[in-house]
Amino acid sequence: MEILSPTIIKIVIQAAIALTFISLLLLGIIIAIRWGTDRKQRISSDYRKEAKLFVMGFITGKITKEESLEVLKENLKEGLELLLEIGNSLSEEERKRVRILCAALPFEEEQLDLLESRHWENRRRAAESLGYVGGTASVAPLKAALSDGILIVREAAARALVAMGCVDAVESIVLALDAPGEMAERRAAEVVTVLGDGAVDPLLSMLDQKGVKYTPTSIKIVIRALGSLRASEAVPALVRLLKNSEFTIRLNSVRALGLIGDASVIPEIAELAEDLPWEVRNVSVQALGRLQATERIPLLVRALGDPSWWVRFSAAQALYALGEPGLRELQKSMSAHSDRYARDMSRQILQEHRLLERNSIPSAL
Amino acid sequence: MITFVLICVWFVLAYFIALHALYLFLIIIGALQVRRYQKGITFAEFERIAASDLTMPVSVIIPIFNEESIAVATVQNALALNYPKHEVIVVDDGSTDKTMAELVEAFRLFRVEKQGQKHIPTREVLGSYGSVEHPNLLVVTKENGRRGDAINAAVAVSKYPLLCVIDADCVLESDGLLHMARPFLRDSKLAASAGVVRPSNGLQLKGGRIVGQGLPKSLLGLSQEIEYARSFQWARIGLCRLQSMLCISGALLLIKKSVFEAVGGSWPNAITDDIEFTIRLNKHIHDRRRDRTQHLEFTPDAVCYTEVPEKFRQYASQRNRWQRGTLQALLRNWKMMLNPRYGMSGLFGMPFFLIFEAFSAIVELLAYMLIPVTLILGLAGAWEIALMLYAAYITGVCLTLSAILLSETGRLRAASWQDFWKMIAAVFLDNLGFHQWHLINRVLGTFQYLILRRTDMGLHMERLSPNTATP
Repeated sequence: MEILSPTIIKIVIQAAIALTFISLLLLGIIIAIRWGTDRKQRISSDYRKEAKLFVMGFITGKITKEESLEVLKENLKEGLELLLEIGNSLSEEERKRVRILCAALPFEEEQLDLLESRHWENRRRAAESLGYVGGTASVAPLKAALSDGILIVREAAARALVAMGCVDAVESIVLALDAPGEMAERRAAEVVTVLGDGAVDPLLSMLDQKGVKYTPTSIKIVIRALGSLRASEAVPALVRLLKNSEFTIRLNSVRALGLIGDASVIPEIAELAEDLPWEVRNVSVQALGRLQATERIPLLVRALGDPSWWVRFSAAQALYALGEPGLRELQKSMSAHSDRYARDMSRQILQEHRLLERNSIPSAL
Repeated sequence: MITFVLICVWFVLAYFIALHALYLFLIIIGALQVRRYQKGITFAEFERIAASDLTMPVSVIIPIFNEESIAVATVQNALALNYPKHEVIVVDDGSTDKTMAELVEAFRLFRVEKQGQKHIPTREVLGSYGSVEHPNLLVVTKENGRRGDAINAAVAVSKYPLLCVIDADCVLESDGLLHMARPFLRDSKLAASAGVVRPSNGLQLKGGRIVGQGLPKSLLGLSQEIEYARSFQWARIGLCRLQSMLCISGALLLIKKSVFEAVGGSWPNAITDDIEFTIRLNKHIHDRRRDRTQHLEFTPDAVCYTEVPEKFRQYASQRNRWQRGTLQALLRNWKMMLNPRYGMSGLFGMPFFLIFEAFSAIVELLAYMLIPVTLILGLAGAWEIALMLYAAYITGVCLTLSAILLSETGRLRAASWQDFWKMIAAVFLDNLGFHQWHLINRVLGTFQYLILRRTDMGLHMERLSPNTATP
């Protein structure tokens, strides 16, 4: 009796031959891909090296526009990538020179067409590219792209508009990037912040508009952006928001006020050091340290005994940030605070900042 | 008797076809997933992440036990990572060699008080040390436990919301952490991300940074190089897509601290804590009784290099330990097996790991044992056996070449033509002895765990001298 019938043996032989053939084919493909990739990389690297010299020469005024364009036209695809790369590494002022080159090449039209593509990857890439190579003709399509169904495309369009300095698009950008989750909020605020001081007025008008109802997320994006921009004009509006019923809005407002650094709001911030959610207490204590609120030292010492580890940690860091008077209190708390955890935290912070006697190296050694 | 042998032969054949078909399927899914991932990366995104204040800070955790020859280089590498804000926590797990002395000298350590949030109990922490030159370095010494216990001790003193756990012999690419952290910035529901692990033997380092690529010199090392590419890279990406990645290598894991604590931390008695932890992590996030909104992700361009053993004795011990660890982890979480409550991880991941990972060695050994039996019983001739062996061999080669093909289209391609030909040679030679040696050790591991209940950690890995990794 045989395990394998002649039919099965035939199938196995055919399978083995087929697999041998496939393996050899795969090997051939791998070698071809490897060879092709090497060659492509070599050509691309040589071209980029040369083209970069011309583009940088044009930016610094040593080479004429025509000479640079001639080199870029030799390989438009690589040329666009190179201009994006260079544009990304330059300041806005220098980037204007790159835009001159781009305007003379068919990049913008091509990318505007791609912005209408059915594939979101193409739309995203086009929006990204237009931020560097687009001119005034790109602004309206990019604003329209802020209502794209895919968040990542909207974000790319927002970044492009910001790179082009479109201050009038702030409200649309905030609304376009209104998505759930803290990271999304932070990313949206970061995008708006790139516009610098020019974004402050449109952001403030969003907080002041009585008739318009924005979502809590949009409000938080605005607050974060104002804080990052250190916009002192925003203080009255932010102080009003400290009374908001949504704790995340209170939390972001305190954080923003701490960043802005206006000491006149210390009493309002101190009130929130006893708020119910620990996150608000934590940020409030951090802000007091940042604002050098020496008159609130007793409150910070009390916060050393807070039930939340993070609040205790931030209170100790805030006391450290207050300098001499805060350090005195930390030293006192280390031995005299009624709460054991407060004593431990005081010791830890003093140790971390190397303010206690140092036990040099491990005793075991 | 003959009927029994026939059943065995057909079982082995069916198993062999299913195993290779599944691996091919996983590699294809992995390739599609990588393509999708690459399409999602926006222009200059990593530069933006590196420059952004909003990037989530990371605590890099390195558990170390008796690693005097590599500890300093590993810590230097972790400190030199390109990341906006990260701290490095080294846990000396009761080393008996000069590990601590080397660290003290290299980083000018001094003792600090450190009160962490201790959610997970660990062996006693003996002391914490800060560094004069590196304020973001913390070294913790504790009584000897196992790797899992050391990780738990580090988590207690960590400050940041993301934890990156790496091995003591790991070298991360300088942008590796940025790549690992990227999915967390895009997706608030992400619980953990895993990266690609490749052998570090042959890598050239300078000041903790990778300056040159290379391959292991020995054939054993090369055999592991292709094994890592095939099984640990492409297949795992595929498994991740199927929500069944039950083994995130301990060499590179980025996880939210809140999730790590919710899962209960690493199990200190685990033989291989990474597999055991990943299974529990899957159990936690796929449990239908929770909201099940969290998930895991594989980051195909975050690469960590880890030293692979190039001595047969060391290799044998490592594979034996991995086998015992896999069995221990699967048996400890047996409730998940085929349990719809845990979604795909219970219905597909657990059976896949049991049948095609844990027991693959036994089935393969059975196949080899059937050769003389069938010959003696006259059920097959030498020619037929040779044909079957060749079919098995060429299937393995074909599968590995597919993985190499995918690697060659990405940035993890062999650095030079010389390295490339070495890899290709290893593909053809792997099944001519190395694989069988691997198999024997895994079978021994199975026997020792299931019958002898062996749970020790095996031989301590002898490290290559740091000079071999430095030009």
